Amino acid sequence: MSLLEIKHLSVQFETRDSVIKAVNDLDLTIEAGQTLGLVGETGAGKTTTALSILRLIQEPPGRIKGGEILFEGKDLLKVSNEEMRAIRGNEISMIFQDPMTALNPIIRVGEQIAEVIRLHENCSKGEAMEKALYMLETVGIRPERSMDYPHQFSGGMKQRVVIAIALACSPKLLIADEPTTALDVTIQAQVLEMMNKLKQQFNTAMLMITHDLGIVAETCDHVAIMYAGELVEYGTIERIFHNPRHPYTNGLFGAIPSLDKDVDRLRPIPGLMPDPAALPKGCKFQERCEYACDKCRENAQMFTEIEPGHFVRCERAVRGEI
Amino acid sequence: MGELIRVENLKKYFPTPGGMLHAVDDVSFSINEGETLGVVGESGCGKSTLGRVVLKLIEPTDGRIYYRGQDITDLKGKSFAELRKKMQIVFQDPYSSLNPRLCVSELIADPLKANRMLDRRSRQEKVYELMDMVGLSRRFAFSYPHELDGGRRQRIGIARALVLDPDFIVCDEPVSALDVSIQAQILNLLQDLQQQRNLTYIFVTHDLSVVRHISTNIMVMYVGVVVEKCEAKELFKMPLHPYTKGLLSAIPIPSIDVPRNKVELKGELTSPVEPKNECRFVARCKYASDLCRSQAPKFEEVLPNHFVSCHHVKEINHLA
Repeated sequence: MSLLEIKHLSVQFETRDSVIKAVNDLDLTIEAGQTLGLVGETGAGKTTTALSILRLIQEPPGRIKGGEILFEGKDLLKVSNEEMRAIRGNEISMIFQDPMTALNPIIRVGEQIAEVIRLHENCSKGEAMEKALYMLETVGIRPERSMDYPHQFSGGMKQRVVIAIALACSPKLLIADEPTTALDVTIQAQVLEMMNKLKQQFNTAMLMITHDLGIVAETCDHVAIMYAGELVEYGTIERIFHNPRHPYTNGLFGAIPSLDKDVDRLRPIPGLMPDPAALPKGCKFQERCEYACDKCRENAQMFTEIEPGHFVRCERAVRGEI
Repeated sequence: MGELIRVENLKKYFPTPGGMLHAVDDVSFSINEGETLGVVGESGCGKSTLGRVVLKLIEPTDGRIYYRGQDITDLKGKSFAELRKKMQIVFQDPYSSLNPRLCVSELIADPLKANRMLDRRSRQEKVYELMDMVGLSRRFAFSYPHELDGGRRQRIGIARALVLDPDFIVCDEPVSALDVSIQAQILNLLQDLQQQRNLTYIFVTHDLSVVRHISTNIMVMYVGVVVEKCEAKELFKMPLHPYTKGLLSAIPIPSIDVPRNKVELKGELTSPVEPKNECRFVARCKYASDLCRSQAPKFEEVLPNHFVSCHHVKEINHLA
């Protein structure tokens, strides 16, 4: 049994004049101890997927239309609110993108870490604080600083505190939503190295949401590429990096300026992502795809396995025409 | 190609309760016409302040700025307003740098209006001409910024900077708020415009792969000072300063075939408030010696056209 199995998940946001289809018929699997990278542009539905797992989609306007999210075989969409509260922060926890807003500005950081421990573990205030100090040390912050407030920390240190909170109860699954986007490269390198180390230490599986393929290369075992609410390609990191097949995946690789090769002009993906309130018929990527043909405009594309464990949502790629 | 901008011993200090904050400390460089100077560094290293001081958006504390050989440091009033048309800026965040109450056409015409140039009809023509130039469809002329995505908004920012026909533009992190696929579109646009109109850029960014792609020369800043400056490709082939080396090794590379770099730089930027007379990088440098702690290194030409400020640069890199 996989640790997390998402089947046919569809999430939409209903506003007065339109229905925004953020996630459409998404399938995703994460095995225990493994890291899955979820890659895509702004608005692809990455964060919506993550929030659905924790059932944090605001309702209304959001609504989980259908599907199952099986966590250790239990459907998270069916458990009671109380059960869900016991799971959040304990078995599944989340690191948010912006450490500046994820912490409570008027509570000392030590206490913020102890809070989650006290909630989920049957222990006294003192024991919780003791463990909080240990967690601070684990993420590389001197325990004396537990009495400081978030504003007394730099961005990188704040993100370490957020990670300490997320890992305090040794969750089985950690969802990291662009955990280093707000940080400088040298700080990002330190935080990523620490996350990789802690992931092994706590044997935590991770869903790493990012738009940076460099971060994927450094942290992930599997990669899922998301576009307009759908997965367009999925596979092990070797498959995706050595043999990317979907035109969008290839476009993403081509758009990054290289550090060692000389390129006169970048090859951007032309155009923009389609409006999620008015998705085109057929392939969602057709407007930006140089290979699009009449069939692509007509038929919805199937997510097809082209080699063991490597799925692509592009019929022309499956037929080897690209 | 002649020299367009030259800056000598530029300093910008800000008073803070804890003492003087040395945001830019004794920076000198020159840029030739049609070239791009990339300025990289982490947040708080003074790179944006530098861009703004060069444009005189903020007054320098000390040092001189020359434009086509003319000293513009103390230029004021009318003659400065004339010059301002030639020196423009593209801001980082297209979400906050555009007035939300003006439509695209008003936004682009704004600089013309402020300078009382052209009549209403020719202004509109000029607006359309610029929209074509930066790849904004004319149907957006009466849209408001909130109706557009980040890439289109940044195109407005670029059109605004171009409308007065400048020859020097400071690009302050123009693509860091954008998705990679859109980022590549904007970088190509900036390069095309540079070729068509012989523009000179200062390109401020924290993204090293972007700066390598677009720059002729690169300057690496650390806590207000320049630690290394050389030709763009050389910086990536042969970084000499320990900070540059650490910075380069910290970039996650989108490939699984290169061995993963170990994290070289521990800790964070030191405070720029009342810095001591020492190397600013000393706290994070594994080669730091007593000399580094007692004296700030000079910015010297170590190899032809490759400048570094480090006491031990020769030993570290085994140079004669």
